[in-house]
Amino acid sequence: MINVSRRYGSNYALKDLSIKIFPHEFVILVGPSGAGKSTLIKLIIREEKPNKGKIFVAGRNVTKLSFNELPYYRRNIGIVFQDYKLLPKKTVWENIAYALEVSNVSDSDIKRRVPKVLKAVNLENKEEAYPDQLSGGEAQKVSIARALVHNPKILIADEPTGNLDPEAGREVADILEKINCQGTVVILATHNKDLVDKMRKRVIVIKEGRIVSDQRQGRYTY
Amino acid sequence: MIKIKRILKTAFIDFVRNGWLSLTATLIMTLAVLTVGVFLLLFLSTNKIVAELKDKVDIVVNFKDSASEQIIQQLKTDLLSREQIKSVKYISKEDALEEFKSRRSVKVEVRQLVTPEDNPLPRGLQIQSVDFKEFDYVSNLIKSSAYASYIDSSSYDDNKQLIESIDNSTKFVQRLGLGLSLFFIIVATLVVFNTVRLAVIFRSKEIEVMRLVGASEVFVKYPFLIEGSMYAILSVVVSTAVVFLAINILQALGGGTVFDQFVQRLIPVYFEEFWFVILVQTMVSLIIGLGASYMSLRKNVKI
Repeated sequence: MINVSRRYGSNYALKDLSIKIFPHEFVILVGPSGAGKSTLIKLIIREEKPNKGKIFVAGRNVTKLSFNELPYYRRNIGIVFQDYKLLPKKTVWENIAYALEVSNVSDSDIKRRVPKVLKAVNLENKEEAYPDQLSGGEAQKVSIARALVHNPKILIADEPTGNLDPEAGREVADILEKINCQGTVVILATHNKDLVDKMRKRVIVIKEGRIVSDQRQGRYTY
Repeated sequence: MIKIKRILKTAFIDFVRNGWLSLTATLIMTLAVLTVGVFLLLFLSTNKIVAELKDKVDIVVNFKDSASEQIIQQLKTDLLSREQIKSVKYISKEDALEEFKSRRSVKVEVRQLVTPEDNPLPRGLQIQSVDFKEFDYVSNLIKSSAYASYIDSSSYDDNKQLIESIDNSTKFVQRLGLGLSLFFIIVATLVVFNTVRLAVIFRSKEIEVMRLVGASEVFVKYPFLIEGSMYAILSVVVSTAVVFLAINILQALGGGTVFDQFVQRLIPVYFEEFWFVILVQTMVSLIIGLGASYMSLRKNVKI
């Protein structure tokens, strides 16, 4: 990410931001609300374009992706949100399978891949449940499983523990670490101080659209 | 194949889930399709009626006794040189007499007054044309100096009025039909546009998830287009059912209703041109359904 700026009207959400994230890395983004963390994530998944600067993912300039390339690009990036974004009328299994269905994956492949990711998040016994029958932690794990089902190279989690109790939050963090150990880059935006301090990962602090600190084994400070 | 199956499934589920909306869109579109159908029938049947009338309407030119046979034959040749003149029939004094004798509307006493020896009936030419407009040419020709002095009378002026009035009413009916059809097409387009917009809003969460998990555009947008086509096809089916029902009811009511004349004319045309009417209706409804859905998607869904 090189000299990236994004403004809404005359207000800058990000200003001249440059970050380099390496393969297999686990990066935590912290900062007060409105600091620009969510904007940064929107730019990486190309939901929005920067007004200035370039973003490279695996050597490709994301800002130059064509309309048709976008879906394929997004399949390489798993995304997890604070509010899970599960479809309420679909079961756990269907929610995960849905990500594959709309990406033109065959039925037999779906049957093979869904149990694998459910196992990775310890939810093998919940595949018939509907989202409203799940606890917050379980719902978030389904959301992670859905993000993982395309075998993404990067997993982005925007406040994944925001709605969870400490124990469930810890479990989600464990899963993210496990995913990272298997080689996936994890970018975690969070306000969870305990989690950040315990994990001892690279911590980037963003404030008013700029990076104010970037520490290898950082702590939650801003 | 999997793709088509999944897209169709999504479209169908969405159609059922938005029951009332789908019903409204289908019914409004039915109205449009029905208007188009009725207009088409009116257009076809007035054309048919006009064609029939064209066969029936002719000009008879009567010659004075002073006109030589040569002059009459000359006019006949002149008229036949025009491509648009369908036929020119020579009516000799004998033919005229025979026709006069056969008229039941004339009193027997009067009929007996005219005999082959004392025959005041004129020779004439009976002219038929495939185009009304050609009658002007005929009129000009018989009024030209070469013939005018030999001509006793012609039925041109009487027929001209009749022809013009038929022509005007036909055009009026056709324009009215076209106007009404356009009006309903616009209304139906707006309704489908909004229905798809609401369906997009209902499914906004799902569309957001689709985008996030990398669904291709086909999966996001095509179900809505299919939905638009479903309104279209259904509206043609419903409108055809309505027409059949109406025909049955009108026939059951039998003669004596004000519609009777109208129905007698329209029904045969409808069955003769059935597939053509269905084809036009399907095309119009598909253009409305797909076009409105596409416009709505362009405005409301981003990838």
